[in-house]
Amino acid sequence: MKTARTFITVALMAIGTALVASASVGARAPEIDGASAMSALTLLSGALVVLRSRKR
Amino acid sequence: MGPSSSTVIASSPTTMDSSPPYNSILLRRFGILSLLFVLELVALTSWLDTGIWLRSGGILQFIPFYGPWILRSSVAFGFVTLVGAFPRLRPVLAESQAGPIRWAWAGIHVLAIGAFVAGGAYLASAKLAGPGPVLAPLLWLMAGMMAIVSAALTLVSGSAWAAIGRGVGRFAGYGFLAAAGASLLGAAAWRAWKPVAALAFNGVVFVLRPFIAGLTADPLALTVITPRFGVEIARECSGLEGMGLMLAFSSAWLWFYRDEFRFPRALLLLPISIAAMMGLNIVRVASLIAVGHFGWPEVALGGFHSQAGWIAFNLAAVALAAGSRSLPWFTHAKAATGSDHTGTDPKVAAYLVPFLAILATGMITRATSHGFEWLYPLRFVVAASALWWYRREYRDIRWSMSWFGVGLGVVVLALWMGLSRGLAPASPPEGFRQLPQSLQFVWLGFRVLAAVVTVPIAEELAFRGFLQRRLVSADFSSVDWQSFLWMPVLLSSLLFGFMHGELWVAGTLSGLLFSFAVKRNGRLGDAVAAHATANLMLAGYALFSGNWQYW
Repeated sequence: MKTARTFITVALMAIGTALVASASVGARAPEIDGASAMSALTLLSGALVVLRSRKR
Repeated sequence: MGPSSSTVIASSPTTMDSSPPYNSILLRRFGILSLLFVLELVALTSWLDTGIWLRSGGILQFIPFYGPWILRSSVAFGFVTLVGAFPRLRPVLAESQAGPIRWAWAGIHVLAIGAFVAGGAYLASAKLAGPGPVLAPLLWLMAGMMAIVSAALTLVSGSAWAAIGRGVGRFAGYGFLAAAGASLLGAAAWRAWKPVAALAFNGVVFVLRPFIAGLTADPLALTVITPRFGVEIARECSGLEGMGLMLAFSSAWLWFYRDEFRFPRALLLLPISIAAMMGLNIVRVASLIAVGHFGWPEVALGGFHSQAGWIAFNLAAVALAAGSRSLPWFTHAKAATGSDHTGTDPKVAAYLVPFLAILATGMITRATSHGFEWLYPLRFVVAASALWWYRREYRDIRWSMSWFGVGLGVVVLALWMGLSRGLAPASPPEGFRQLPQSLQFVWLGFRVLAAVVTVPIAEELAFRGFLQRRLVSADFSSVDWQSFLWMPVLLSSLLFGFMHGELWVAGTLSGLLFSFAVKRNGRLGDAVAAHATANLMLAGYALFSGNWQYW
């Protein structure tokens, strides 16, 4: 069960990474704009840190 | 000359963290190695244009052709391997010895880099028309590999690398499978864009029809056209990217906090989050068309289009993290105790929220603009409100400032001006020049207030106050303000630098100087003074010279 869970997780992360990594970086108007990635991911990371710092 | 002893940083005894402490020397060496690779890669990619090799024959044409594929596969390998092997690597990293610096390997690295640069210059010459060489490109690639290996062995002992390899264990295999899978699936996955785009198309038409008269929709061309505006739902707008990003994030989230989740029911969060991204993409495209139709086509195709995707992803990811934790059906009771290393310190929010508020507001103000961020004053208002909300948490911070801080700000300014010379000139944007003069003064007033007051305070709280000290200990508020460890200082300064885009080098060096300002007297006020001074003088220069590229 544990091995199956690991394998499934790895496969899902690979699929997700493949979809994003195969995106046309030079596209004119992508859904996920590469130029805004840094600030957006910093915002997400910080929000998750604040969330995890709170008790439920 | 024996192996140097590692300096172990103890975790705070106030936390329930039972993980082994970190080996600061080893981590410092990894940091230096990473920085070395980044700098060498930046220098090489800016100097060497491999695109011309596409027209060459032989093995040379495959380097620029397969190079991006190798890079993407490496990213997939590294991501999956590190996420999966992280719990096993922690004790290994704590116990392994970095060893002394091996100068012989450093010499080999210099020679290998020299050979790589010389080989690149030779291969880039015009003499390579025709069938193309085989041996020369192979030797060039080998020189590159030798440069990487020799740098790694210079800074970290072979036995430490071997221990890390053993620690990674089977996850290297998983990472390899992920890399191979990412490569094979990448091309195949994009064939799925048409049905996904069709789904997005139908959703957009369903949402918009009740509100926009005269809407025409072509399901074959995937175009949605109103009397005043129209879009084509192309591959990049289909929603597949966002769904892929959410799949990678939610998988990693469930894996990393797997002890908190109830399986297999928690796996339902994957399709739920992916469906949410699909729904948000429909809302995004529909909103874009509405914005364009109702009078702001430049905003629709400009700021809105570049920001809406990330706004949607951030909302979905935060909803997943917050919602899954608060639903007992998905999580065990352990999730309520805050069992991760961030702990339950209430000051975390006080130190981070003002900065995060600036980022979030910035995304919204950019999404509502094209070329000129007319809602910029909102950034100041939101940040000031957040600082006011948490004001009681800042009482034990030393806010007093000195002329040292101001002087350091002048140094930062000089640094910034010197490293910004390559920026393309920019004049005040058209939207600003069209404003009545009174509103121009109001906008400029808020712009300067933000640069001098809220931004320095919020950024120093986040980077020097929280991040730099959190990298030392999980209980960041107990870390002395005058403690100065190179790895936390370097990493926090690098992240601060990356926030400044192409001026990341100037940003990183500024971050280092702000850290020094705090270390000197243990006062965050000095770092704020330096930051505010630099921003004020930069604003003054930009305004009086008309060179807005510095802003």
